[in-house]
Amino acid sequence: MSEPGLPVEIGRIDRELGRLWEASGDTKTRASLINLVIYTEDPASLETNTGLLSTIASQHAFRAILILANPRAEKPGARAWISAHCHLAGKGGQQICSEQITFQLDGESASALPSIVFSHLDSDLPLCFWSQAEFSEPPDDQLWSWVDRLIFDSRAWKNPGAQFALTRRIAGASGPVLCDLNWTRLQPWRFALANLFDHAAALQRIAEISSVRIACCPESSTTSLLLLGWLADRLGWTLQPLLSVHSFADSRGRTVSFETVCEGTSGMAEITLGGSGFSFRLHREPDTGFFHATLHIEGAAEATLTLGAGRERLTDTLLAELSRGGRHPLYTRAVSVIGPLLSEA
Amino acid sequence: MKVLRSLRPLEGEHVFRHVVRGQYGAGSINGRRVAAYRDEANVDTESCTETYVALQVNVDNWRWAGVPFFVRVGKRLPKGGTEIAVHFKSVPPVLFKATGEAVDDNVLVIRIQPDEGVSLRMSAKMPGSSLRIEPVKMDFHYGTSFGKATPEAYERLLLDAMSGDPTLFARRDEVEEAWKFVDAIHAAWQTRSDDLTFYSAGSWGPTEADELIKRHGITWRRL
Repeated sequence: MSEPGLPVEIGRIDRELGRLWEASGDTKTRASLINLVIYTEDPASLETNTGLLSTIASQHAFRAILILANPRAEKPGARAWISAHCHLAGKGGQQICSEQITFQLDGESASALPSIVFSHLDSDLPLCFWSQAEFSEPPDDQLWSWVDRLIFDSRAWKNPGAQFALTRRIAGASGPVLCDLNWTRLQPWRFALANLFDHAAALQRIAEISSVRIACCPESSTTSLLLLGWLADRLGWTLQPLLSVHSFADSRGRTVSFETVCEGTSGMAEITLGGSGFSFRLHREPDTGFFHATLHIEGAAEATLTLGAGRERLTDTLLAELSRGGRHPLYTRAVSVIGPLLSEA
Repeated sequence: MKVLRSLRPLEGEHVFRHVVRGQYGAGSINGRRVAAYRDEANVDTESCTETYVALQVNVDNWRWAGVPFFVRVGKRLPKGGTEIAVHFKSVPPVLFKATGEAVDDNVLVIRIQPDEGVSLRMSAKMPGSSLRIEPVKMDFHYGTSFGKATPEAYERLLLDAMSGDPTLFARRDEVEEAWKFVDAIHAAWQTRSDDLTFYSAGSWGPTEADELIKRHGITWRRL
C-alpha cells in the first residue's frame, strides 16, 4: 500500500497543514464547506476512499478525515498523513484545494476515535460522518451529538435489525440526520415508480394494488425492504405481522401480499405491482442507465415506457447524498413501516 | 474595571447552578492513552482539584444586560486555544415565503492564540433552485495574510516590561476585582465536593457543562 500523503506527527498536524499552504503560494486556495469524516476498518478501502475524495472534492470543498482503524491489532499505534486534492477553478490557473488527513489507528488506539475527530475538525463547519463499519454498542453520545449528518450504507450490514435499531438510538430526538446510501440509491426507483402513475389508466388502479413482487440480488435484500417500506408508507398500507405470511393491509382493510425474490447479480432488478386485471412492471437491466416499464391492463393495449435510471456508482450515490440538505422524513417513515421485517433480513 | 465591577456575583447556591467544575479521567490524546489526573505523578489520588471549569456570567450594565457570557477552560481537551466567539441572535427561518429548518447562528470568532485571526461564520443559500441554507466561513489568518505570525503573548509582554510600558498589563485594582469574583466561587466549592464532575481526557468536558449551556437553547461551539 502506498503512503496516503505526507507522514506527520499527530500532534503537529495543524502546523504542518499551515506550512503546506504557506509553501503552496498564491495559486492554491484552501476551501472547506464541510468536515467529512470517513471511518473504515478495511485496509483495502484506503486507496478507494482517497480516490473517491479526490473525485468529490471538485463539487464539495471539505476537510476530510479518513480513519482506518484496526481494533484487533495486538500493538497499539497511531500514524497520520496529510494531503490535498486540488482542481483548477476558472481560467486564471487558480487551484481550489481540499485537505485530507488520514489516520491509521491500531489496537487500543482505535478507541481514540472521538478525540481524533474532535481534535482535527475545521471549526464551525458541519460534520458529516460516514461510517463504513458497523456501529458498535454502546454508542458514544458525545461523538454522535457533534455529528450533523451520519452517513452509512445499510446494504453492507450483516445484522440489519440490530444496526437499524442502533442508528435510531443514535439519531434520537435531536441527533444527527440519518443518511442511508441504500436509501439514496433507491431514488431513481422511487422516481420511476411514481412516474408509472402519471399514466391515467395506472393512476385509476393505484388503490387496487393487491400484490408486490420485488426481485433483487441477495445482497440487496434491505434495499428491497426499504422500497417496500416507502411504497407502504405512501399508499397507507400497514404491516400485518401477526400472520404466518407477512402482508400489508391497505386503508380499506384489504390484504396486500408481497414477496421478495433473489434474482440477478447486482442491486435491484425488478418490481411488479399487481391487482385484479392489471400488472405494472418496472425492470432494470444490469449496467444500463434505463428502466423499462410495462403497464398491462386487461382490455387495453400494453404500454411500455423507458425511464432514466442514473448510474449506481458509489461516487454518484455519495454526491447525491452530499447535495441534499435537511432531514429524510420519508426514509424514517419507510424504516418504521418495515421495522419488524428488518430483523429478519 | 467597569465590566469587572458589573459582573453579577456568583455566591452560595448560585455557584452550583451557574458553574460546572470537572476533573479529567483517563482517555486518549492524539491516539495515545493518557492517565487520569489523580494518577498523574505527584497528585493526591483523592484530589478534588478542578481541571475544567465552565460557567455562565452576566454583566449587569446597560450594554450587556440580557446577554449571557459562557466561559469554558480546561486541560486535556482535544484542542488548545483561546478564542472569543460572538453569537448573533437567530433569524427566523423564512426566505422567499418558504419556511425551512432553523439555520445556524452567525458567529464572529476572534482567535487570540494560536493561529491569531478572525473568522465569520454565516448562513448562505446554496446555488440552485432548491432552498438549502448551509453555514459558510470567511477566515482571516494573521500568519498567512502577512507572511509572518504575531509574536507570542509573553514575547510582547517581556519587551513591554523591559521598556516600562504598562499598557498591556492588568492594574492592581483590576486584578483584585477579578479575584473577588473568583474567590466567591472558590469559597462555595469549599463547602462541598459532590459537585465535582469527571470527563475523559480527549473529550470536550463533562456532560454537565453541555447541560449548562443547553438550558439556554444553545450548544458549545464546534472548535
